[in-house]
Amino acid sequence: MRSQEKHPLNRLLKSVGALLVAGVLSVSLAGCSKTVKYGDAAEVETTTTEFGSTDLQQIAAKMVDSVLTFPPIVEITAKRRPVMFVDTIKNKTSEHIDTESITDTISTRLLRSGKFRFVDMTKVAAVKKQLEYQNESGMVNQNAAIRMGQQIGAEYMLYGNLSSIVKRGGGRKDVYYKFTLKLMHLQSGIVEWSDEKEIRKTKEKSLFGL
Amino acid sequence: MAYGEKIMNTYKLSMLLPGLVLLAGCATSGLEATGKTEGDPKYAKHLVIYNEPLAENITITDMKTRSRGGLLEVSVTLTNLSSSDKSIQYRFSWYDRDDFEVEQGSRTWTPVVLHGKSSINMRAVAPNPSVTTYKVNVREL
Repeated sequence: MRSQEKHPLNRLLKSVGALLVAGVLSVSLAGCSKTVKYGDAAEVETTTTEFGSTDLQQIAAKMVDSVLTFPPIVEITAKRRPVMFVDTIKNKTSEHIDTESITDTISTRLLRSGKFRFVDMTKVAAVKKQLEYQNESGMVNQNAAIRMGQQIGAEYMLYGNLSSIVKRGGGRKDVYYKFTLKLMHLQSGIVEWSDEKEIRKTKEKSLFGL
Repeated sequence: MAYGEKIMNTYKLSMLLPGLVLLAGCATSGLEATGKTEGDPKYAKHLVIYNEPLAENITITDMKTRSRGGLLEVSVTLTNLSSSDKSIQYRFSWYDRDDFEVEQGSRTWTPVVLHGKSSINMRAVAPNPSVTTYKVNVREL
């Protein structure tokens, strides 16, 4: 019996068995390690070089700070809250980027600063439908109906571009984003304010080429 | 014997490495500077150091404020005392007269590269006129 235990083949089989058990255990443990976690939305995100949340947040912060402190704009907003509307931001990059999300953040912050007011051009159709219902359907008491033709026209238009230059070489990828935002006075056509935000992101191939 | 020692050393190193990585991963604390525009000017500015090794290389050298159209504009100068480039992140937060945070989470961590023996200005504008106190956090990642 003892001589069997000490047999080299037996010991080898035992160690192979132990390794198999360890392998199965580690696989099953790995299976259990998948967890869902809530992260901090304010953290810097560097998963890839593609346009990400940190880029959006940096662009919005720079643009809002810039427009709120530009001396002629400070003068205009000192005594009244001008009405503006947001035109689309032209995405000239090769990526699919939700530029409306960038302008949403910018317009929300400008609105919450108490310096500007906005008209929402994405809701014109819905508003028109509602006002037609109130005024023309015969369903709404006319004393309580919101009259048509009473809206305030926007005085300023916010518009811009997002462009990028992507370069690759020697296992390195370099992405340069440039976001330009302009504020036009609609009556005169004069651009009252403009600013740019530049972002550079690079990615080096890691040691294992992953 | 020599081979055995080598194995032992490798073993020790492998035990040590995850610990180091973990420590490096947890080093998210940094500096916190607070500036008040109201109250006693003697206590208007203060700096709390949560990460001493970082504070030996990176320091806040100036904190300035001004009013722009009723909004508080802040400029904080960050200086890299070491000769190597540092990748740091900073974040501003805003508080009103009652020390309640204003527009919580409106500011996010901003990454910047601070070149060796150089300074940068971290600038930000308060989200609305109720802000009287600002905080800036700096960390290295």
